[in-house]
Amino acid sequence: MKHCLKVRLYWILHYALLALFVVFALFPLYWLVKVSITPNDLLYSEGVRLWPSHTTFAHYVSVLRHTAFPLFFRNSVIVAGATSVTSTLIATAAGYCFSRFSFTGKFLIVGVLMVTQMFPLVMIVAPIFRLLSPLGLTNSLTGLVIVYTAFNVPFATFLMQSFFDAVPRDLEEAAMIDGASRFRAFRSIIVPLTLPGLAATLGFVFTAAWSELLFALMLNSSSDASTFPVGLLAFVSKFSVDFGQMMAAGVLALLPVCAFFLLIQRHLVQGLTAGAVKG
Amino acid sequence: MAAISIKGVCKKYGTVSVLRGIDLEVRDGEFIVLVGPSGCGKSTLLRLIAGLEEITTGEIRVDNRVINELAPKERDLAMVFQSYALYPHMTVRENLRFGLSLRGIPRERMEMLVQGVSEKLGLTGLLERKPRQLSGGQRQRVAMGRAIVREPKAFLFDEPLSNLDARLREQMRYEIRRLYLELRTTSIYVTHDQVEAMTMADRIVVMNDGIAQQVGPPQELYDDPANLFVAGFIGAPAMNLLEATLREDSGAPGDVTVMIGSEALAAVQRPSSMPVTGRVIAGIRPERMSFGADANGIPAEVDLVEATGIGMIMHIKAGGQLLKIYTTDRIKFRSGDRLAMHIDPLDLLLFDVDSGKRLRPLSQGAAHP
Repeated sequence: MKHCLKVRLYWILHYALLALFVVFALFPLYWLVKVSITPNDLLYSEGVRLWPSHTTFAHYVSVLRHTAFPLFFRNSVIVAGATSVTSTLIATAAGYCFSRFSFTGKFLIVGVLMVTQMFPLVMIVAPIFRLLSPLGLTNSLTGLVIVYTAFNVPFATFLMQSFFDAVPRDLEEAAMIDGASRFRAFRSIIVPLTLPGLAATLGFVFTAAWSELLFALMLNSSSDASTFPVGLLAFVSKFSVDFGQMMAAGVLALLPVCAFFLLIQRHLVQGLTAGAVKG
Repeated sequence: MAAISIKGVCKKYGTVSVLRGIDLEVRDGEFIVLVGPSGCGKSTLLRLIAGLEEITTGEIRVDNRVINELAPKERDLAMVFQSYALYPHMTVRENLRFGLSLRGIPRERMEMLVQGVSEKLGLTGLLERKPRQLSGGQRQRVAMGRAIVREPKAFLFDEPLSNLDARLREQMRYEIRRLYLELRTTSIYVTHDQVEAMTMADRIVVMNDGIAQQVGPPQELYDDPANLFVAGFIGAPAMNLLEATLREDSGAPGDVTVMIGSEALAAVQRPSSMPVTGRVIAGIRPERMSFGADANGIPAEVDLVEATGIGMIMHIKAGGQLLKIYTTDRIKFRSGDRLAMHIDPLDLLLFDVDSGKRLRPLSQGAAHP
């Protein structure tokens, strides 16, 4: 009886702690949504109420109709999409290479990749600007894609390498003996088994590029080539901050990321390699 | 089917030599077993033949064609891995079909071959399952099926039964051997299990330290080991290897007496090369020793008796050394009992203490160089 009570208490505590964490993690999102549908006149008078006395979608309408947000949004989709695809492709090739081959200079390359992750990006904003400017890559989405790809490839490579390391070599060796070239074995056997890894890497790079502010702000000054994080700053003017519109834009910016993760979440589930080897 | 010829093959990883000059002629349709302790280089040799590793020096030929530089897919060999290496995202049918489709075999013929192999191996009901839904034995069969469906020039087996439990291993051993007798495809089989080696091989290659210690039919290796390593490795329970000395005062001319401690073991023919110190290792199979409670024979004391069901392993002390006797008789000896051992001098094998090489009697010296 006493034991039973103890077990129940344990589980109650368990779920209470989990619930606490979930509330802590999701509250800002909730507040984002709440402010985005609060009419301007209630924003300050009912500031601390959990739900406004009446709601409106006016902020959404004005963000979509009267600001350049749709353009920023489109730019962000292009930049984050291109960055995630390019980075994942490069990281897949590099990660496979690190996982399967030993070659001269491997240690050095891995070392250099690590070093790039070790200093704050603010330090290199100016040199990057000086590099890209004469090439006509400032105020351009291509420039952003190149910079983001360069910064995301090292981590993505290590991520992909760990996924390749988890796939037994026997599988591709079996395929090569069965008559496949190494590339065919990679395509037909290894890639299907590392889909969770590919999805995770794609998701990681996509969110990183999607929410990046520093370079987007520094390299691109024209609004034609701005991404949405820069666009959000436009809601802050000298004398006021348009919280309602800013939050509405924020909610809109969350949608593609959510959609993206919904799309890939099936592949994020691990366990595809179960049954491959051993009994 | 094909003959495989291996000449002076060496493999180095950096400065570490894994294979140090392997020569082996595998005849067309022969079942060769590579056996040895872990790290002896047997799996490496198999991987060199398969093309999964590069040869440092030497030459491998399949059907008289040098294949050193060929990619694995061009060698037309099939391999069964210890881990089975079934493609986990494919069904059994797709696993069997994979190699065929890469060779551009027409669909109808492919289905026919898959059907034939799955009937042969009892996989018909499992074709639509994924590997994770199969038991260990079934996975092993699929791995076998994937190898034979392509009708390759030779099969390479890399410890295929190591992951199975003892009973299943015995059954699969039988099935592989039966399948081989049916197909008669050249096979090279790697194992560390000497029972597998003895039961399956046409010829065994005993390997140690990257060198082939001896090549021969199972019985020959058992009866006539070339050196201490082979003598100790082949046979379970293992051969008794005793520190002995040769004394030249036996009655018959050309004979020497093998002594352990102060006890005379047997009088044998003088070896062709007599060690200067007179010290040798004397080897005798546990089942070739007889014993009784009588007074004539070498006196010994029973240390421990192990019953294996089918027989008994008796650990005894004689001349200050421990040795084993294996018998299928129901004996009533207990620890501490005294008995007398009898050894047929012909069953006693002598080895050089330093080189481990077999010391053969003068009369045999020419026959077994």
